[in-house]
Amino acid sequence: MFVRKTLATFVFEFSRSLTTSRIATSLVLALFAPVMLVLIGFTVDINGVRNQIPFPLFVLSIFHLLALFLAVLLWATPVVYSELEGKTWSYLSVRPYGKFCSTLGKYLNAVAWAVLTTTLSLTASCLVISYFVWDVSFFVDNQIRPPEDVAKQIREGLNNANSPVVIWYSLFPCLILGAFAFSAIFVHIGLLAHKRGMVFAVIYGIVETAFSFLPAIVRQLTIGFHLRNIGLKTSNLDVSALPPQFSNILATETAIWVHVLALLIITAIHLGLAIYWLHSREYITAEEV
Amino acid sequence: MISFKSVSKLYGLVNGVNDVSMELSPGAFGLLGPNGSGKTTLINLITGQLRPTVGSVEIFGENPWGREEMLSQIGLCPAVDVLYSNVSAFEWVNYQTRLIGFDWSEARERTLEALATVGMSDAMHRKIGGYSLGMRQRTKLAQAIAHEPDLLILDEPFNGLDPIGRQEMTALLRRYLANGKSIILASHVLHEVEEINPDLMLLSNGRLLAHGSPQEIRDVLSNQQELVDGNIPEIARPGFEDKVRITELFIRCNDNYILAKRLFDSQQICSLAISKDKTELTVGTTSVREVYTLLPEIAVKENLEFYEFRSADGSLDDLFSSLMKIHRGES
Repeated sequence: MFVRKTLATFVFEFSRSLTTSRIATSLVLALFAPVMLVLIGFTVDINGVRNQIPFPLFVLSIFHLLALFLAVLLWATPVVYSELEGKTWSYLSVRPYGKFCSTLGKYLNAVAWAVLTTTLSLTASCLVISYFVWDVSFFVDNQIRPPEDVAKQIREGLNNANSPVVIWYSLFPCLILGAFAFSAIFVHIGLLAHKRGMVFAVIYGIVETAFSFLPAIVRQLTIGFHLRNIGLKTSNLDVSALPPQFSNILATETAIWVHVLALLIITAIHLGLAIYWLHSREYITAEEV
Repeated sequence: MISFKSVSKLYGLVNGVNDVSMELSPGAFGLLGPNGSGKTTLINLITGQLRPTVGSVEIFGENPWGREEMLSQIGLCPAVDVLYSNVSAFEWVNYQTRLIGFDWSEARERTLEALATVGMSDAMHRKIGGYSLGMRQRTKLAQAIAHEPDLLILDEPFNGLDPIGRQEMTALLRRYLANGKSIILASHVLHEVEEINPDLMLLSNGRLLAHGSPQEIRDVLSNQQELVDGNIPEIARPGFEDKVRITELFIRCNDNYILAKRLFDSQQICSLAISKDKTELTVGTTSVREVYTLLPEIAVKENLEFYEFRSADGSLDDLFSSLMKIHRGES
């Protein structure tokens, strides 16, 4: 019954959210990365040489993490606040488990929109990448400057990772897992501080990004760290060949399933806490007072 | 069915409900009070959306806070509007019905039935944003009755309804009651509530001023006789010529003179006045109950037809000011 009600909410919310403004917002987010790639690909530097993105996997990771973050910020954070503000919460909260099922259904709707938006963005970006030839040697030879045998290994790895197909299948699972995990955290934040949810979610995003790059235990609590490791491992990019100052920050030797499990646990914990708050706190609109 | 024991609800320093105690058996109840008197807070306590700060609430023998299963026995039609403008009444009511726990086909059946009951079948596939206020009220009622709850709670259900809509709503509520269900109807307009002949709960500033049948409340008021100044009756019984404490009743019937003559026989009648156009009789009495007893007897004996009967304190404001005086010990 719990699942049925949650799915009923998801279906209702998804059909309700098919509005011009929602679709337009989604398209703007989806087109951001491919448009940026096109702009970079078609511009030339002062010497008349076309600009290169030596590492599209990383660039697209950043672009899509940003798009994902914005999507879930817009759609997951206000799931309860929008109902309180719209004064429709009282209809949902007098249904048996209505508060929980409607919140979870709206959470799934936010995840669905985030996944659709970022998948569209990723697919379009990969098509753009397939149109251009990316030269990794410039980056490897001029920025990293490793010994020749290592440089060869890095070049091969990067060339492989720069394949549009590899980028797609490396980033796609990250976007799905990231959408579930970030949405869960933002729904939780939205329930804890429903009037300032978005502000706290942005602060969380900044702190989480900074912590994910710290070479310390705390990064294992961040979503970004686990997503990065999953992306690197699915692209078969061996970062151990990079200098330690890069490789230590980017990844660990932990198996991919550990990172997936960690993300699922983070998601479950935050959704569980969200349900706990719904159960234990009074959510009322000012007019009801 | 509903039990409140010394219930108070504070919103910070604001007192939403103040020391309310009552026991309600199944039936019809009118929750009356001016805006901000605590009606919605009381409803939220009944539906388990709020936890009392002090005291205890029991609905169907259980504390409603956190008892999710119990909510399937309650239908709530809140005062707030339906603000999902881009969905149809059918989609919205169907979704609300599915949230009760019905499967797809049963929810659909119940949705169609509820929308037909409130007269929304023709417009149910149009977007709610295009509805009139009355249509939105009826849609709200449909989501509340679709699962046929044992207790239907309606907060200002007559808002935005035209006279025909009000009549239809009243008829619907009477049918609902006739099926053995219970209704709590919150309003700040007395005559709207009286239509379904409920027991009354009168709230003001979060306090329950009075609770009982309309007759019981009228008796309380009639026993606390009002001081009426400057209304010198045309016919006054000896001993009542000076300023006296009386309750005034206004009556319209097919022969006001006969009625006046018969009423004058009663020792409880202290003044009688017939309006200049001779259509209305004003009766001053020290016992409203006595008049209630006399009127049917006179009507039968003299074959009188009654068109209107109202008291001077029939308006909610007057009723509340009278009850507030009693509450403060001023009368």
